[in-house]
Amino acid sequence: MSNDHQNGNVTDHATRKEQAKTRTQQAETRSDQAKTRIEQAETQSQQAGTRTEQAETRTEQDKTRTEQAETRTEQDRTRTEQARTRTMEQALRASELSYRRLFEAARDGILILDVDTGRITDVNPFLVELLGFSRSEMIGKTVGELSPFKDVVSNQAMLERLQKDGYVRYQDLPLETRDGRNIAVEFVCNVYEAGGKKVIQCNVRDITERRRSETAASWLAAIVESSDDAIIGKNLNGIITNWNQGAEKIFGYTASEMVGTSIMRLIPADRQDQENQTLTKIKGGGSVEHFDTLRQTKDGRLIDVSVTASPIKDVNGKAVGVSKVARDISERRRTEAKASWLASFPERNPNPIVELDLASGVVHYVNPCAIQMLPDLQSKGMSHPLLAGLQEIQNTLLNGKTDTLRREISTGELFFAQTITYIPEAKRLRIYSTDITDRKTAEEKIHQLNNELEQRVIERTAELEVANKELESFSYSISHDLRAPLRAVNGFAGIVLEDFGPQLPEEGRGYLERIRAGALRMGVLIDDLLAFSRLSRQPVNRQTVNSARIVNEVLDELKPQREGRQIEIQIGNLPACHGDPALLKQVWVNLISNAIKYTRGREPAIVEIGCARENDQDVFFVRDNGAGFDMQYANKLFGVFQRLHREDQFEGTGVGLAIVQRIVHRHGGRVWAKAEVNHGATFYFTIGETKL
Amino acid sequence: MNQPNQTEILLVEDSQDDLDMTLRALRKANMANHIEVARDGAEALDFIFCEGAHAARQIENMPKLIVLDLKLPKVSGMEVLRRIKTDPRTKMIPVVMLTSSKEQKDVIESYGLGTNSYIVKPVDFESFAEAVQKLGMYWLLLNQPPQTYPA
Repeated sequence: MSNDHQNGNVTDHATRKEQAKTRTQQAETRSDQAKTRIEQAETQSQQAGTRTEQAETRTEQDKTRTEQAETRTEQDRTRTEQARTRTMEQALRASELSYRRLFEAARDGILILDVDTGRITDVNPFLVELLGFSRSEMIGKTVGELSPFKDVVSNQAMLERLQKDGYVRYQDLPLETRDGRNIAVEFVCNVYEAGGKKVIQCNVRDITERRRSETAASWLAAIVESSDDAIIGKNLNGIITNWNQGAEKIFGYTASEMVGTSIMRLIPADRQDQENQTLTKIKGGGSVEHFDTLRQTKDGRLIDVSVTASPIKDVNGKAVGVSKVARDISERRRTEAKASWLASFPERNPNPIVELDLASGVVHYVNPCAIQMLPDLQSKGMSHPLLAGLQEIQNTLLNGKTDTLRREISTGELFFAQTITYIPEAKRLRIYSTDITDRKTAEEKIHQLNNELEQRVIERTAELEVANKELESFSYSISHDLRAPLRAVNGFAGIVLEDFGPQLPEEGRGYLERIRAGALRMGVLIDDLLAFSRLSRQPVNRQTVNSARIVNEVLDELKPQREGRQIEIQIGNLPACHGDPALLKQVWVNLISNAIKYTRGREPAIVEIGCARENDQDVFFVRDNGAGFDMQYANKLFGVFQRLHREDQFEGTGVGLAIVQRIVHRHGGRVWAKAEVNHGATFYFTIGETKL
Repeated sequence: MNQPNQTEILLVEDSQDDLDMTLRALRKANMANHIEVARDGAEALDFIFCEGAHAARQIENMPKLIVLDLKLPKVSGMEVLRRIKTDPRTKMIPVVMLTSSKEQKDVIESYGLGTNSYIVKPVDFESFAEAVQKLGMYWLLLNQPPQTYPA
């Protein structure tokens, strides 16, 4: 094996391994041939010319092989030269001399053994040097008696095989030299005749280096093969020469699919320029390291790879190929993408996020929103108002059962709602803040408006109280002071009638009666008006009201009005309702007494009292067959002092229905009427929505 | 049983009209003797508690009945009533409120202070005269007062 080959490029090791094996075999063959040739030269020098031709032919073959094994080529040349020289000699002596020279100069160890005893008769200098035993130590011994061969070669077995086959061969014989080196040798023995006597020649070739480099190469090959990275060899034209399992795993193609084809198969069309640039750079002796790019797999997927390309140089340092290592970084890319996606949550969060270590007071993280919203946060650190009072909060979080606390905090200008979480694995506090300034401002405003409103209500209530007081004292005055003069008018008119009546003409007495009646009527008007105005001030005390019982009470109380009248009263179903019993009684009194009044003259008078369910509401009604009224005046019906009939037809002040309406309205109900002149009237009312 | 000159009725009334009508009605029923009239609350108190113009009067000579209007100059009828009914010497004297006010609060307050009766003056002359005569009849003739008032 040559040193050149040992130093050869690792990526070509498989090929070289094959070549080396071939060369070994060829060398063996050559060795045999050479021996044969020497024999022939010695014994058949007469036919040298013929042999020379044969030798030349063989030399041609050797030359071809020599290109692959340079050292041996040298040896072969030497041998060839020697062989040629020898063929040119015509004498045995010359042949012997030649052989002797060969023997002395050979770079293989050579032993000559006695064919009968197997004892060493001659040993060449190379072997002396190789094994470290002197010539005299070896002469006369069998091979098996030499300590390096002691355990590996049995003299007897060797002789038997030589006699039987004419040669013995040990391809890989481990020996220990005298100075203790472990070497490997190839050991070949042949039997041949020399000068009419049979001898055994043993060739011992040191293959230690070859073995070592073969092992190293196979180690390297295994490393390359077992790598998860794609390791690809290619020539300067981009034609793939090597393809490891990692490449197969990453790109999906097998070595047999790829070797001999262009690397461009892997490169997306829009990146092929990049590959050409790489090749150009490599040709110039440069390399490309860790550039991230895209490659296309056999099944068409694009994958992220990190590529390093470096030149393969020959002995002269000239780039002859490219070694390319590609790592699939798709997973890394995905992880990176996921990491940056996850990071975007705090990074792009529109609310400030801060993470800090309370023990050291170091603010570890501030998201961009926090920086933008609170520019002094980083400079102030823990003393920033946003982070006030966290020590206590951390103690609470550490001691308590909860790992999260919420609070609201002001930084002066802004208000934040905070969620504070303890991160045990990092021993940090994470503070999520939401800007609630708008809400706070709105709340403040609402609060302010409420206060203003409350103040206004208080003021208005006070005003109303004053107004009520005034109204009360006004009513009081009416009830007291207005009645007194009326009493005087009526009284003194009465006294005049009583004391001086007989002296007055009939007409005068009549006028005095009119004066008295006018005063009385004014008294009634005052009483009704006071009753009506009192309704506004009187509170409504709601309770369950038994409508049927109230109506019966009212009918009893109205008996004097019904005296001497034929009135048919029909009472329907009257459900209970929720209202003020005294006020509701007043409603029934006014409506029923109206019905009795306005049916005067009807025979029979019919008054119907009932209730109908309409739109989920109880509608009470009082219907009569009396005088009725023209519906075009219905809007005036419930006004104070509004009357649709003349006083001399039907007496009254025009306050009764106004009172009815006020009571119903104060209960949240409605009142209305339907009527026709001379065909009676029906008054309806509801009581507010309040549930019973 | 009547002592000579003993006041039977103290009539407290500021309105001349009402006073005339009241006295006329009492006269017609023969009850107009021994009537003392006070025209305002202060006068009424002076008489009852023997002060001022009535300082010489003996408080033991109680009127049999006090007829009291509510709305009075100087001291209101309600205050007069309160003074009468809170003084042990006078609290047993029957007091009849005779007033124009129908207001419930006046009725309730009067009874609360211990009035013995509350009558609204009717506007109608005949009813008014009848009311006055009936109350005189009742309190002076029908009602039995204690023989003597405690000292």
